[in-house]
Formats: sequence, C-alpha cells, structure tokens
Amino acid sequence: MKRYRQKDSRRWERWKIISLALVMVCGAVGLLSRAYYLQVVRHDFFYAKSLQQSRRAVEIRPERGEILDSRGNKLAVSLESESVYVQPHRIVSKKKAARKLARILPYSSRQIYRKLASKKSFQWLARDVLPSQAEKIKRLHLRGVGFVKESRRFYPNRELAGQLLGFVGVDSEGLEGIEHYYDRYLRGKKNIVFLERDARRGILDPGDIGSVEGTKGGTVVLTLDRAIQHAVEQELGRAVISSRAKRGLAVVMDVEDGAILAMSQYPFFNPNSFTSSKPSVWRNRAVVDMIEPGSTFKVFTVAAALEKGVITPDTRLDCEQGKYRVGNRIIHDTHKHGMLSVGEIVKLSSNIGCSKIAARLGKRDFYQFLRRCGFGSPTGIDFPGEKQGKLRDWRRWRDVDLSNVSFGQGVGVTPVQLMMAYAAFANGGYLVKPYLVKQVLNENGWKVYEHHAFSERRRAFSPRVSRQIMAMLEEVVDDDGTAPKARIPGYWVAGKTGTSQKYDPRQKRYSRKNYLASFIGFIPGPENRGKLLVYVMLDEPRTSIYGGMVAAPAFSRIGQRLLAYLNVEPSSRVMLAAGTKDKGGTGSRSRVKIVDHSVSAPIPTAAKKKDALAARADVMPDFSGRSVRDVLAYFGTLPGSLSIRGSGKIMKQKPLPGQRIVAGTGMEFVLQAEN
Amino acid sequence: MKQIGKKKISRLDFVIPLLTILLFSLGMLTIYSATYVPESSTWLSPISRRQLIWFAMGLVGMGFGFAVNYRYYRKISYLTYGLAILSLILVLLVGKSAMGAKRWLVIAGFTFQPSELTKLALIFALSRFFAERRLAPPYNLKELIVPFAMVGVPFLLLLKQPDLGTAMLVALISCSIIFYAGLTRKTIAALFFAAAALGAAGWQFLHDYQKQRILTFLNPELDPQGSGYHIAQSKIAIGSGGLAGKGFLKGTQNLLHFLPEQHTDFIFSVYAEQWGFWGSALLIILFMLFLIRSLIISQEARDPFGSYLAIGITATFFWQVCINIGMVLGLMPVVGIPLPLISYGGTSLLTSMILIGILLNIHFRKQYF
Repeated sequence: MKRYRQKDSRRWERWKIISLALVMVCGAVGLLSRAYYLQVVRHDFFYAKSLQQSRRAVEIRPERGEILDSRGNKLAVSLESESVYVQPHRIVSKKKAARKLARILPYSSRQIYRKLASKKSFQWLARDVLPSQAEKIKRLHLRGVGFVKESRRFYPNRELAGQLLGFVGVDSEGLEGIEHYYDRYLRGKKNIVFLERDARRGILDPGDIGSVEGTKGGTVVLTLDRAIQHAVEQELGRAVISSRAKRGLAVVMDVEDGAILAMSQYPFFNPNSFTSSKPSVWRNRAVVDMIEPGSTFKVFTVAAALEKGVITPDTRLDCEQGKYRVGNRIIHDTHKHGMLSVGEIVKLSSNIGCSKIAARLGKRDFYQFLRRCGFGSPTGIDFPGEKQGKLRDWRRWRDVDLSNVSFGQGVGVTPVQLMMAYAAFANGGYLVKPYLVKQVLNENGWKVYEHHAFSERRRAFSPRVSRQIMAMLEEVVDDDGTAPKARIPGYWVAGKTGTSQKYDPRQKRYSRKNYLASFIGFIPGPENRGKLLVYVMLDEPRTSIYGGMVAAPAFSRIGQRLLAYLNVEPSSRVMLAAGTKDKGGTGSRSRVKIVDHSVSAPIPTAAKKKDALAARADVMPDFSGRSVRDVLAYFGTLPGSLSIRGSGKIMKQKPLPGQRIVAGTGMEFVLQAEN
Repeated sequence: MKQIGKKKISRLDFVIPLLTILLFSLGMLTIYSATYVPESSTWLSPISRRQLIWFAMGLVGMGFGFAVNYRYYRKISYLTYGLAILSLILVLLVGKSAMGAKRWLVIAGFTFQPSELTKLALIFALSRFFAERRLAPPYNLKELIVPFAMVGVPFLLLLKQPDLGTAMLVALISCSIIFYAGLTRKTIAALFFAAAALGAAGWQFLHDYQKQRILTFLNPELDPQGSGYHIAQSKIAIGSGGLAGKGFLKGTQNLLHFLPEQHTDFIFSVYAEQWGFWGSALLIILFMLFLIRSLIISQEARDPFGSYLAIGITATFFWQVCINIGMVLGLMPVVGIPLPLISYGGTSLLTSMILIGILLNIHFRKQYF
C-alpha cells in the first residue's frame, strides 16, 4: 500500500482480474473455435478418414460357376464350406472352450488349446469343416469363435478329364485347364462386404454396414460327354497297362465342327488333390505337348502331292526294296516293297514312297501345304498353354529334311493339331478349330458365350483330295494294311498308324528303344454329328512298338464303345467290304470308279422327281432308289462333305429322310447295284 | 471450527459442487464408453469401477479440503512444499518407472504421483509468500527471486523425471499466481524475454522423445504412425464426430481402438466423437462457468491468502483444461496432462477434488471470522 494510492490499487486489482478472466475466455474461445473447425468445418474430411481407416471393403469370392459336360453332368462344382476361426483374446475360458471344441472337431483338446492360447488376434481353428460340425460349434455360442463361408472346388468324377478340367488355387482362382482358361466366366463378380477394422488387431467383424452383391460364376458347358470320356479313359488305361507303356492319351473329336467329345490322358489326374500329383501329370499333353507325328504324317505328303497334281492315286512308285538313299542318309522301310501305288504307300506306310512323293512335290509346295493344314501354328483351341508345334521354314530344309518331314520326322505337332488336319480329310477339306467349350451360361441361364464352329473354318485342300485320302485310309485297316486290328466289326473305319522313334536328348539321336505308337482314325458318327476322329497314342509301349499293334486295338475298342453308346447303326458297306476282301487292296479304287460311273448314268425321271424332292430345302429327302446324280442335282452345291460307297442306286443315306440338314454335316450314301 | 448451522447453509456455494458433479458424470460416462467392451460379462469395466471408488475417496478429500479452515493450510504450506520437494527427489531415486519416465511412488500398495502434490504445495507456498509480503505490488525482478526459486526447484526436478507436461503446468500455474500478485511492466517484458531465451537454451536439454513430440506437433505429417499418430487419430475421432456426434457408445474410432490413451489423456476425443461439437461446447462452457465462479470466489475471499489460493486453484484448472483439450485438438504438443474431473486417474481426481474442497472452503468463510 505504500507505492499506490487506494484508488490506484483498486483499479490495479480490477485490471488484473479482468485480464485473467480475459485470458480464460480467450482460451475457451480458442478451444471452441478449434473444436468447431475440426467437428463442423472439416467434419466431412475426418469422417471420410475414419471410414477409410475403420472400414475395409473385403472382397468375398462368389460361388464359382460349374463345369458341365454337354449332357449337363456336373464335372466341377463349388461346395460351400465353413471355416472356423478364433479370436483368442476374446475367449473367456480357453480350457473349457478347447474341451468343448475337441468333442466336435477332429483335434485333441490340447491341440485346440494351443490355438486358443495364441497371441495372434486371428487364428484359423479348422478350414472346411463339415456342415454338421459347424452347426454344433455354432450351438456352443462361444465368444471369440467365428465362421467364414468359403467356397471349395469339388470334382465329383475324380480323375475323369482331370487334366482337361484343371484345378483352382486356394482362393479359388483357376490355375490350370478349363478352370484357368474360362476363369473370367467361372469366377463371377466379387461380393464386396464392408467390415469394421480394429486398430490394434485388425479384426474383421462383419457388421451390418453394407455389402455389394456379386454374381455367381457362369456355368461352362463342355463339348465333352462324360460317358464317352469315361469309356475312352477306361480303354486308354487298359491299353497303356497292357502295352506296359509309360503313358498314353486318347482324344475324340467331331470332324465337322471340331467339338472334342473326350480328351483323356494316362496316368490319370485327380484335381481334387492336385498337390499330391506331379506337375508332369497335370499337363494336358494333347494340347501342350509336341510330338513327332511319324507315319501319321505321311498322308499329308500324299495329300499335298495330290492337291498339287504331281501324282494321282494310281501313280506307282518304286519303293527300292526297303533301302533308299537321300543325300547322305539311307532310308529304310520296315518291309521290302517294289512298285507300289500311292494308296499302297499309305496302306503299307512306306517311308521310301513318301520320300519320293515329297521329292516330286518340292520343299516349298510341301511346306506351304503343311502350313495350310495348320501345322506350325496353334489351332486356337480354348485351352491354356497350347504349343504351336515345330515346322521349320522350307528355305532351311536340306533334301534330307524334306524326306524326313515326308514321313513325319523332324517336325513337331501337337495331338490336337494333327487331329484338326486329319478331320479335314473327313469333312471335305476344311480346317475346323477344335474346341472344348460349347457355351457359357450366366446365373440366369442366359448364354454369355457360345462357340461358333463354322465361322472360322477355312479350306485346307480340295474335297477331291479329301475323298482320295479317305479312300486310302480305309485300306489301312484291311487285312494286309498296317492296322487291321483297328477294325470294328460291322462298322466302317479308316485311319493311319504311327510309329515314331522318340528323340533321346541325352544321346542326341533317335532312341532305339523308346517309341511313340499311335493310331488316328475315323468312325461313323451318330445321326446328329459328323464322323468321329479318334486319336490314340501310347508313349513307350513295351509289348510292341508298332501303332498298328498297340494303338490300333485300343482305337477299335474305344470305337466300339462309342458306336454302341451313340447308337450308330452298323454300316452296310463293311459287309460289302468283308465280302470283297478277296479283291485285296484294289477294292477302294474300284469303288471310286463305280461311283463315278453311276454319276454319269442317265436319269430318266430326274426333272419330275426334282420337284417332288424340292419341297423343303433344309430337310433331307428320301433318296432311296435314286442315283448320286439326283442328289447333286437336288442340292446344287453341297452343304457339307459327301461320301459315297458302293455302286448303283442309293440304298442307305445319311442324314436319314426327314432329318434336318445341318450345314457342314457330311452326307453319306451307300449304293448297291440294281438286280 | 464452528458448527455449521442452518443459517450457514445459505453461505454454501452450490454452483461449484453442481458443476463438479456434472463434469464428473460426463467424465464417468466417457470413461465407461472408452473402456466399453461389447460382449463383456461385467456391465461396468474395472476401470470405471476404480474411477468410482476414486470418486468416493475424492469426496472424502473434498470434505477434508472444505472442513479444515483454509487458514490452517497457510501454516502447513511450507511444510507441504518441503514434503513435495522430498517426494520429487524420492521419485527420482526409488520411483516406479513407466515408459521411460519415473513418475510414481508406491506407498502402501498405492501408486502416487508426487507431481500432483507438487501442484498443491506450490499453490500453498506461493499464496503464503505473496499474502505475507509487506511490500505492495507491483513487484520487480529482484523481489521475485524467492518465488522464482520456489518454482524453479520443483520445475527442474519434474524436468528430470522427465515430465515436461507437469513441469510446464507447474510453471504456468506459478506464473499465473505471480502475475496476479502484480508485476511492473518492465518485469513482464524481462520475464517474457527470459522465458524465450530459456526455452531456446532448454531445447538441447530435452529428451529425444520430447523434442520429437514438439517437432511432430509443429509438423504432424512428419511421423503419422509414430508420435504423430496420437494426434492424427484424435483429430479423426473428434472431426468425425461432427456437429451432433455419433451417439453414446457409438464412437467407432474409440470402439475400434484407434484412439490411444482413450480413457486417460485423450478422453476428450472419445467424448467429442460421441457427442459432437455440441458436446465439446457444453464441456468447455461448463469448465468456463467453473473457472469464472472460482475467480469470483477469489475476489470474495476474506483475506489475501484465500484470494491467492483461489487464483492458484483457478489457474490449475484453467491450464490443465487448456493444455489437455488443446493437445487433443492438435493445438499443442502431446504432453501427459489429464483433463481434470474427466480423465481416468485416481491421483488427478483426488487432487482436483481436494482443490475444489478448498475453493468451497474459501467461499464458505468469506464473511466469517
């Protein structure tokens, strides 16, 4: 009180208290405005941030689509299974919980306790538990025990078409085969579920925050027929085992549209447990492996020469008694032959004959013909990892190479490549892309993909050549051909054997011991299909190295089962052929001649009958008793290939009278001379 | 001590107890939600229960602070100050360490924070010092050597713990009392420059984590997962609360454990996330009312000691609220200062309630004796 007067002191007191109050008000206003800024002005920003942090959009895979065969049989399905997880920190009584769980799950209570005692925030207890087990666990109402629905792939037919179907990974993504190639259809659209995330442990608790519904994967419908596939696999397995081969494969394809009806491979592969098989067993070798075609390739040499016109089916060549020198290499035949017709060269599978034909043809034309037949480029089959084969440019061929290629050495082809080219012989010269998937249907059954067989077919050679080659292939199965064992009683068959030495990469030369024995041939198809091409290949057979000995019988057995299953009527031609067996190898050529003759025969009532026949252009009329000329007159241009057997008037026809004519389907007529 | 008769009831202050109950209730609700576990078997978390027990003890402390004539505190103020300094030294020698700092003394199974006692003791000591000055204010620097020494010793001891937050708080409370006592303008200017120079020089004595905290405060993006994490998460929680808040027990940032220290120092973010800006405003305004009421009490005190004491108590609450909420709102660096009456913590609650008891004491005896 000494320094200030009373009045001053009082003023000072007041000033102090007001300034203190002011400081406090300032503090409060500062805090309030900051709170206002954060909570009101920037609320949207922080709110978004909090969601970003606490919510996680989790993609849950929808149920994967099924894979069906062409008849609707399920080859790959998705089973919904539940997996049990625990959040150990939330479990109240771990020992008790472990004891209770051990009564349901196939683990001991100690094993379970160890999981419950885990320091992790999330621990799988059991993946893929049975529905009954899941139900029991749910009834326990244990805190900290949760369930996640997972979709598991199951292949109900086990090994059936295993390599073809492929398999899926743990997150159900297609890894191999059809599963991989059609993954984008099969996997469906993801479900998105928003989950709340926990900062400390990252626990996901499905809340009722929301979700984006996905769609189930599409249904992939294969061209395969489970019954055919099964029969083929059975016969293949039997053939591999009885020939003591290392492995084998067999494929069945419709020559008209390229549909693969069966594609099997031994050793079989069960995609349900793909991890227990070696990757070499997964490989679908019909598509992803390259082989040397050997003798099956010879027909292309002949076809090229016929197409080019450097030979006719009647051309005869000297087969040099089994030894012939090209460049610095001696070519051998398995049997000594003298002069052989082109047909006999195919029938007896003469290397020397083929070599000479190729020499007439020249490297460039031969190469270009092979390219036109699809060799050296992938077929485009809807399967992952297709190889394009190996066909070197003709400019880099030596004479020896030309000769080698002529009988199928020094070229690499995939089985499907070979089949596509072979199919052209039976369908009038068209290359049709082999395919495995007919269509894909979405959840609602709408087609989202469909294969169009004829949109991209292209001509490889003329129908004339295809007919000529077919006639030669028919003779291969004659008694004196290389593959009489390929015959099927009561049915027409045609085909070609293949016996190729395997190249031994260690010794850098062809192996003396290891061969590929194969047979590729045709059988009649059912009414709604073209002919069927069947390819059988045995890798390193031990009982015999010859395709005609080991692969041809398998072909025959497969054929028999297919024909029985598909209800194909026996061909009368075979009866005829059996009757003319004594005529030997000349039979087919004479048949062709007879056909030619009947076509040129005058038809007195052609004009009149044409009107009667022209009622419906897309329905097959009854041609019985008519001549082939009537057929040609009726159709003008043929909708597909035409095959004629025998001579005289039409006895049998295919398609049958009244059936729809499908473009590209072959027509067959069996003729018989009038009495 | 005289008997408190019916007539004297009218002299009791009702504003402060009412505000205390309100603030504590808000704090209790927030602690309950901060420690809420959805599927817990007990309806009250252990932490909530402990806080309630502490509150009961706090009531006893408050009664004690109220009942004993505050003039008695004047007598024991230097003794208390001595005890506080002793316990600060003790804690450095035998204290319980947690997170790199020695802050707790364990006495008979109870953990006890000497820093809380220090606050109390300093307020007593400074109040006594200024109340007994013969010299009238304003004071110059020379006259302030003793009070500055009184502040300096515990300040340095607290820095040594290290407890930067409490050290700063103690300094701010003391400065408030000293300012209230009255300073010449020259002194104010000199002190301001001295503080700035000291701050700059003191930087190098700071611990790394303290430097880090200050740096991240200045630039939170420096380390969003480390020291910046607390503040970033706190801002997200508060900001996402919006105007009206997410509702009781619906603070997702809190429930999902994004908030650190959510029931202690960062309790305000849990509160603000749930109740939004209106909630924040309510809490800040309640504190303001409390502070204004206690300022008025300080002016009505019947003697300078009571007045200084009330100012000290007001300053204690004010700075704690400012620092804590300011920190949680990202206005100040992260320091370990709890929000009085709201944050979980026994010592803090007990101290706050004793201080409130003393405040009521001062008010009650304003026209007495």
